Amino acid sequence: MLNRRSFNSSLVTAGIAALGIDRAFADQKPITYIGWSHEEAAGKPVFGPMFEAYRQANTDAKLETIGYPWGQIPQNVLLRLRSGQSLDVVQLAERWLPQFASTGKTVNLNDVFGKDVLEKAIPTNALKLGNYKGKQAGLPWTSGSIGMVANLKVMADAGVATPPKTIDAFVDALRAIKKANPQSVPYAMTTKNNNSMCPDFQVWLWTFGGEIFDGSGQVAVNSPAAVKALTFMTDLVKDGLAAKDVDRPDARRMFASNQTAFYQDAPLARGFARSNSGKGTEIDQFISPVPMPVVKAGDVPRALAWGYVLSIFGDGKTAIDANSPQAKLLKHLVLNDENQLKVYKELGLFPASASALGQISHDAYVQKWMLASRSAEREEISQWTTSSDPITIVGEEVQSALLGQKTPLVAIQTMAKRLEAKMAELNKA
Amino acid sequence: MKISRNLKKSEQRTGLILLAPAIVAFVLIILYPFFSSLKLSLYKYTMEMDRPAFVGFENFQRLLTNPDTVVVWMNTLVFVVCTTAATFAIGLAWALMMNQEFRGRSFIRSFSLLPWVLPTTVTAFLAAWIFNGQYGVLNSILIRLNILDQPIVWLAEENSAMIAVIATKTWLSIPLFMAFFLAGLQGVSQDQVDAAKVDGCENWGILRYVVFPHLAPTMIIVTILGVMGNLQAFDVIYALTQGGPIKATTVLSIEVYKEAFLNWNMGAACAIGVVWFITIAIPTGFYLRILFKKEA
Repeated sequence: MLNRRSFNSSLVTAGIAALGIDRAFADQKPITYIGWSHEEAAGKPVFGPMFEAYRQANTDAKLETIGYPWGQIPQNVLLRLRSGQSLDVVQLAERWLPQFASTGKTVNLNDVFGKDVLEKAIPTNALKLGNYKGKQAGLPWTSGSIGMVANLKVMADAGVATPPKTIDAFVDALRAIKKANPQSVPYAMTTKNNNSMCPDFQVWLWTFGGEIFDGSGQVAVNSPAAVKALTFMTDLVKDGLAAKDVDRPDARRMFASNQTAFYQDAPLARGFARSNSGKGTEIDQFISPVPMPVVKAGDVPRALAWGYVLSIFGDGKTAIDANSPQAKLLKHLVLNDENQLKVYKELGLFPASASALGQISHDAYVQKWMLASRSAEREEISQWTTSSDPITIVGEEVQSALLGQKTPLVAIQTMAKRLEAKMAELNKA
Repeated sequence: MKISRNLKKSEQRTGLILLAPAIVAFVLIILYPFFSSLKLSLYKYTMEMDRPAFVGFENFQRLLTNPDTVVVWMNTLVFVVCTTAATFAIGLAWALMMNQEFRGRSFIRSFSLLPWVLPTTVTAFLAAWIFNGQYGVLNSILIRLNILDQPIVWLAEENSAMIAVIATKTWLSIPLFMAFFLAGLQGVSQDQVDAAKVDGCENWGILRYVVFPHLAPTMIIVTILGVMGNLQAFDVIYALTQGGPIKATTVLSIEVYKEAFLNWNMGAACAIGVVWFITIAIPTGFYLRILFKKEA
């Protein structure tokens, strides 16, 4: 029978055991990784073993992975931040970074790894993707650009031997392609979905010498260059060289079925063409990244910087150094050549680290892409923390011109007015 | 809550205890979020803010002075009226057909429920494929039949995009309307139909003087339920057009979503939600009145 003394000693033993368990649990406090790539069908077999390898190499850290579809990441990260749920390492598209970096919850990775170390390991252009107002709020996991891709077969069938370098040559090539195949859409410019139209418009805007915001952040889109750019885009639709009702996925499908010669996409273009055509790597010989056409020979071709970044979120109280489980996870994913090359091989995403990039110099597709997009710039609008409204404004006004509801001049003027009003509202807030 | 005086005290207590879980669930899941949204509509709460800031009726003022509000409200009206009317007409016609005796009736009746069984987003993506301007099935058929020379970009033009959205939602809702009407038609007395025939009524006369009066209560309830359902429609529109081109198919539900989860402006989203609630409350009020009258 249990007497008082044995009861007390049992209680003390149980207490000590509980403390021990508690400490063990404290040591095992999980780190939460949130992203989308590891949940996608193509990504699961690639990232699953990668995370498992991390767990085995870091037995003192317990890693929990949570996946959401790409488009739902910002909502879920925001909701977790607001409700105080744990999130430690988060995969973000480069355009979402300013939104979250502005919350002050992201850790400056220069303080974690050392600025010199990062600059040595990652090319400057790629590193810029994770930079927000001088703070390294994210490390690029993959980097590239949104640039022009050409279908060499469609070009050859229309007698276009080389990719056009100037806008005049580009339009001539599109006409030749349309003549050779009247049912084709020679240039699958995006004409629906604000999130696709806005970046594509910006590249043409830069090509014609315009910009949405000037260096001081003032709206500068109401310019002759912007009107010229939008007139050029509108004329392409009017002449049947581009089509209404085209989003990026439509463009990818038409490109893979040889109905389109040119469209703008990220490096994933080759992977999409392989799967959409059903021909696998056979189609590789017909896909070529080409520089964006320029107004006059000698101009610098423009492109949009693109990539995925990994950020560490902190509470500001717990110090995060290079030996923390979060930093080790970033190292494992970004600064480990084996993992970077695995992602490139299996998913077609370009590595971000300089040494991994050096190991794939034999791939002409990668080399051409890098060459075509060496002057890639970050999207202007994503630098605003509340980018959705401006994206909607730009997208709607571009679309109103493409659909013929407004002249390019009126569309640009309205775009400028709406952006100014929105910026004033945001600045006031 | 009115408790019958005929019940014993112990029975009243049991009744309240049995009701308690439902009341708790209602308060937690519906009432509390509703009043929270109502309160939040008086605050400014954007992504950059740690906590909401009270702004009074500023969100409503901005909403009422924004020209887009009228566009969105008119889109909602067009969508709800056209979809409800089309679903009503086709659902009734289909129910009348399904009420006739013919071979294979059971199979066709079951098959008619297909749109109801399919997930809405699947239907929306199928519709997007049908209406696609470049490789859509509809254009392909119309061109092969020589009805069209050039494909129509259904989802890229303002009017045709709204037509596509209405057609898709109508197709989805027909089984529900048909089921209601079919149930109502089962109660039509064959004797009355025969008597009308003896009195010289043709088909239209039978419909007008026998069937429609009998179906009138069902028609009212179905219409109100249809209006309420279409006012709440979101998934099919968002999956098909995302509210575009420009704002051509942006209805109140889409606007709330965009404001809340794309622009991160929770206060403004809640203000639109209040307008949306008032819009839905009108048909709901009629529906409840009819329902309570019937019970009385």
